[in-house]
Amino acid sequence: MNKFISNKKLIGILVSVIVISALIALSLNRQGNVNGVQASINDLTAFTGKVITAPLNIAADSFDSIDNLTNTYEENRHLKSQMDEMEELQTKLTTVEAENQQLKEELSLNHSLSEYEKIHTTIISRNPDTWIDQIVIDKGSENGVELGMAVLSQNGLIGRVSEISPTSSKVTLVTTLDQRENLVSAEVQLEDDEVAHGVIQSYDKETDRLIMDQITTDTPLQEGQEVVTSGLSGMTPGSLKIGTVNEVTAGDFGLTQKIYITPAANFNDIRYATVVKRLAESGE
Amino acid sequence: MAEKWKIRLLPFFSLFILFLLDGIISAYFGSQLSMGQAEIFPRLLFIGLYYFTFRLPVKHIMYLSLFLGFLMDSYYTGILGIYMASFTIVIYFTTLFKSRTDLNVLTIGYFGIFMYFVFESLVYLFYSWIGYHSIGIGRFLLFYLSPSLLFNSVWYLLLYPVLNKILDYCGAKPLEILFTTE
Repeated sequence: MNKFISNKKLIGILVSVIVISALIALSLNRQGNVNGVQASINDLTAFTGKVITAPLNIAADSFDSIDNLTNTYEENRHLKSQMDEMEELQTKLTTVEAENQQLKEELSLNHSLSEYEKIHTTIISRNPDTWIDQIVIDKGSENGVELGMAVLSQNGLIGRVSEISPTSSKVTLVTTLDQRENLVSAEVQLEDDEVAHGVIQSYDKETDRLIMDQITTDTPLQEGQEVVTSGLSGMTPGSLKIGTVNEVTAGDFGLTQKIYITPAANFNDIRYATVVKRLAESGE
Repeated sequence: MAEKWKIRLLPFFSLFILFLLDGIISAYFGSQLSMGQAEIFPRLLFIGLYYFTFRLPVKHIMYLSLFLGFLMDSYYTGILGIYMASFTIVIYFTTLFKSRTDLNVLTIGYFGIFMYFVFESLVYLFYSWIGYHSIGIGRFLLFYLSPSLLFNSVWYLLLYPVLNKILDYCGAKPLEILFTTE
């Protein structure tokens, strides 16, 4: 009687299953640190991707410039009306910065939670499937990028650096389905310099909004209030814009408030990003 | 000697370009690929591997699928094993199909759709197993698999003549030969 499957094939299948499971387990446990071989392959692939995307970026920028030309008159009028206000704010800012520096010196403070340096990057590619929403940027450890750094685009937070190679890095976006990866400690800016703390826990794909939960303040939150990072977790500095409150509901069991946030960044159109390096020590 | 290297390297470079294009299309056309609840996954690399299976030697295409699966895992997701397994399984079954069935345009097309379904389902199940999402099967079939299948079917029609020309240039076995009854 012919066997359904030969012994050799069966052993091959079993060994393959064991090897694949081991690879997956090892990848999940290494927490963003890749070995030299994988880093080299990633960098070589990223370099090739950069060569291909460079002319695409130039073309896309040209189309954007043409698009902007058609709106120049209205934009110019709008900007002129804001000029006086900006000059006044600039004067105030200079005074406040000087006072801040003086106070820091008196208290022997080095850096606050909201001070940071920027590393400008270009997006090379994006994961084709959205089971893990990740992008690849063209800067890596040689440029000062470290694991866990916050990444901004269009002045809004988009994610964190989740893997680094010498000349490229992977950024996991806050819109990723895996809720373990998109936790962000945030605060809602209320009136009278008060804030309400909470955690951004998930992303509602249907309405393109971030969901912030566990907000324990008694002050009722309102639509239009700004949501920024609190600086209280990991390497993310404070005061990075996340978005604005779009809807306020009761949290689980009615003990907390839950808000839906319209993100400041457009997650479907990311071409350039800024990696943010916090200057204050994280304490981890 | 040159012919030997042509058949070994040219398919790999073609598939590598398709691999990069998958990521570039996702990055530059994100808003077009994400429409409401539906998500489209560009799978140009899968299309290339599937078609090349019918014209390249079995060992060659199996090594290509394993290596490109590794590249996909390492470069795009960081989790090794998922695409390595998915590509290899799908290409293996395609080689079995190739050797045991009468081939014509319809059978290749229908089998391609079936293999695409198997491929996406394997990737979905892997990510589900490691807890990276909690999307139900119904939602996956309706909002992820169906629009992606439609999108990639159109790309198959666009890529077919290009891939054909590339394989003809490197001297791969023509597809017509497989239709003879000798």
